[in-house]
Amino acid sequence: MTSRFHSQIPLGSHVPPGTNTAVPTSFQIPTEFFSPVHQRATANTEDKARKIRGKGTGEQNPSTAASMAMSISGGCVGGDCTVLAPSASSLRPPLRRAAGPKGHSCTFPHGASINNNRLCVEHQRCSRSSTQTYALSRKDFSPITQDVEGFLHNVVNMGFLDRLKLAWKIMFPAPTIKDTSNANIAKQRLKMILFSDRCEVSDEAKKKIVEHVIEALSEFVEIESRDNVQVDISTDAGLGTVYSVTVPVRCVKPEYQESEEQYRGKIVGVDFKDTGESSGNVDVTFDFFVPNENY
Amino acid sequence: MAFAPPRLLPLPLPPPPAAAASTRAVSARHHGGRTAPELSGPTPRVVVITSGKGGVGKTTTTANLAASLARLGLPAVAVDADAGLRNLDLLLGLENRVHLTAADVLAGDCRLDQALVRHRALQDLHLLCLSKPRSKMPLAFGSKTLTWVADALRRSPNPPAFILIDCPAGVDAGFVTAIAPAEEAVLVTTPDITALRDADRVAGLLECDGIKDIKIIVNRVRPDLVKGEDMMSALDVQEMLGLPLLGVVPEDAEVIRSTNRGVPLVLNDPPTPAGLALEQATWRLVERDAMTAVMVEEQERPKKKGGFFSFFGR
Repeated sequence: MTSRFHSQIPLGSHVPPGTNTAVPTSFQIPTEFFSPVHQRATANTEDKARKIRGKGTGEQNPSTAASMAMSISGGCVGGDCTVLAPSASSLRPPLRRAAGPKGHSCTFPHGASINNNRLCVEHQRCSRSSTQTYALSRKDFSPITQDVEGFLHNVVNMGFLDRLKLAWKIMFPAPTIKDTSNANIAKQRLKMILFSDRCEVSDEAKKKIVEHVIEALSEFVEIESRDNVQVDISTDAGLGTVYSVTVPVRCVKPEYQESEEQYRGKIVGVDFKDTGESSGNVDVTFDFFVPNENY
Repeated sequence: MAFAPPRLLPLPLPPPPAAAASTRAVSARHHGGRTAPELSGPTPRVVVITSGKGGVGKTTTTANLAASLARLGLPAVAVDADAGLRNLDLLLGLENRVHLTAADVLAGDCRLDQALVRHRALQDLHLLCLSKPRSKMPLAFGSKTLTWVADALRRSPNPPAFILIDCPAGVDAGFVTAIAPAEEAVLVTTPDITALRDADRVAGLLECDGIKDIKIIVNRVRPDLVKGEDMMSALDVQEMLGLPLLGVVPEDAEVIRSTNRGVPLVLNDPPTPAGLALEQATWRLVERDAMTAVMVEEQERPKKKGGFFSFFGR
C-alpha cells in the first residue's frame, strides 16, 4: 500500500497570505509601478478578450485573449510597458492551468517565446506546451518576462501593417484544408477498413487464441474467472490492427511475486513543484511505501 | 513493325477496311509508332474480368477489351459467365443472334463452334454465353464445366489468343465458377470506398485460389473531382490495393451512348477519352505491362476533354 504525501512548506513570510503558492508570484511585475493604469487597462483587455471568446475558438480562447492582449498592448502603447500588468493578470489563469497536467490550453508563454517569428497561436501542439509548463514550474520566472518584453519589442518594431496582419492571423486563423478533404477522409477510412478486413480471424482461431493465452498466463498469475476473458480486434491509427485479450487476474502466484520487504520505508516519486528558490516556499509531492499488514 | 502476330484463325477475308487502317494509325501515334502490341505468354491466355461489387463496369470493360483485341488482330472469345443475368451480348450488339449456348454444347445438342457468335464487323471477336436465362438448368454450371469449356476452346482447330471471362458480381458460386479456368485477372474498380473494399476482398480470394497475376483498371474516374480532392485518384487506389495498374478510364458519356447503340465504344472514330484509355489498357494487357499512375499538374486547357491525359504515365 502506498500513500501520497503532498506538502506545502512556506519558508519565508513575505508572501502575502492567500496567494496560491503553486504559482510563484515573482512572475508578476511589481504592482506598485502599474497600479494607476491597472483598473482602466484591465477593463479594456477583458472586454476585448470577451469579444474574442465570443467567436468560439474553443480552448484557444485564453491564449488568444492573452496574446491578443499582448499584441494590442504592443500596438497601442509602442514600447511603454505600463499596460503589461493587466495582460499579466489576465494571463495568470491560463498559466495556472498550464501548470496542471497535460495542459491542453495553448498557453501564453509559448506564444511569448516566439520572438522573431509571426505569432502562430493556432499551430501549437500539446506536447510542446507541456514541456514549456514543466520548465515554468521549475525555473525562475525572469526568462519569461524577458521573453515577454522581447516579443513586445518585436511587435512594436514590426510596423503598423505587419501588426495588422498579425492581428488578423490571430483572430482568423487559416483553416487547414489538406487533411480534411473528402478524398483524404475516404483514404483514412479505407485504410482502417482494409486493415481490419484483412486481419479478420475466424471464430475458431479466436477461441484458440484465448485458450493459449490463458494457459500461458496461468503459469504466472491466478486468473479470476475464465469466462470473463475477452478478445477484441480493433484498429488503431498508429499501430494498425490491434488484438487485445483482457484477462481478469486474482493474484500473482507466490513464486513470482515481487518481494515487498525491499520496499519498506522507501520514498519514491519525489516531485518538486516549487523548489522555493524564488518564492520562499517548497511544494513537493512524494510517495512512501507502507506494507500491507494483510500479507 | 517486323513482328506480325501468328494468324491463328484462317483468314479468307479481304484486306482490312479503311476504317481499321485509320484506327491503327491512331494507335500507332499513341504507342510510339508500333501498330500491334507484342503478345506475351503462351496462347490462349485466359483472363477473368472481375470486381466483386456490381456496376463498376466489368461487362463494359470485357466488351471493349475484346473488341480492341479483335481489332488488333488477336482472336478473342468473350465468355459471359453470368448464367442467370446476361448482359455481354447487349453490349456487343449480338443479342438477337444468340441461339445456342454452352449449356447446349454440354447437353450434346450442338458443337462448340456453333455456339460461338461471331461479331459482324470484327471478324476476330466471338461471343459465348453460358446458358439462356430462362432455361431450366442455370445452376448446372460449375467450375469444372467452365474449365472444360476453356479446354475445349484451347483444343479447337483455331484456338483464340485470348479468352476473356466476364465474371458475375458478388463472391458466391458464380464467382467461383468464373475464376476456375483463369490464370490472370483484371480487377475493375471505381475510386470510391465501397468498390475498393470489395476489390480488396476479391483480390484476396483470387490469390487464395491461385491467380497471382492481378491487375487493376480504375474505372469512372472524374478528373474534376480528383482535382478538387473529392475523389480518390488512381494513385491512391494503387497505393491502397497494392496491385499493378492496367488502366485508368475516365467517366465518359459515350459509354452510355455506345451501350444503347450496341457498338463497343473503342470502335468509335475519332476515339473518345474512355475508348482511348481502354485501348491503351488492351495494349498493356497484351504485353503484360503495367502503367504507373502519375499525378501531374494540369495546365489550363481550353477544352475539358484534354485534361485527363495527365493521369497517364508510361
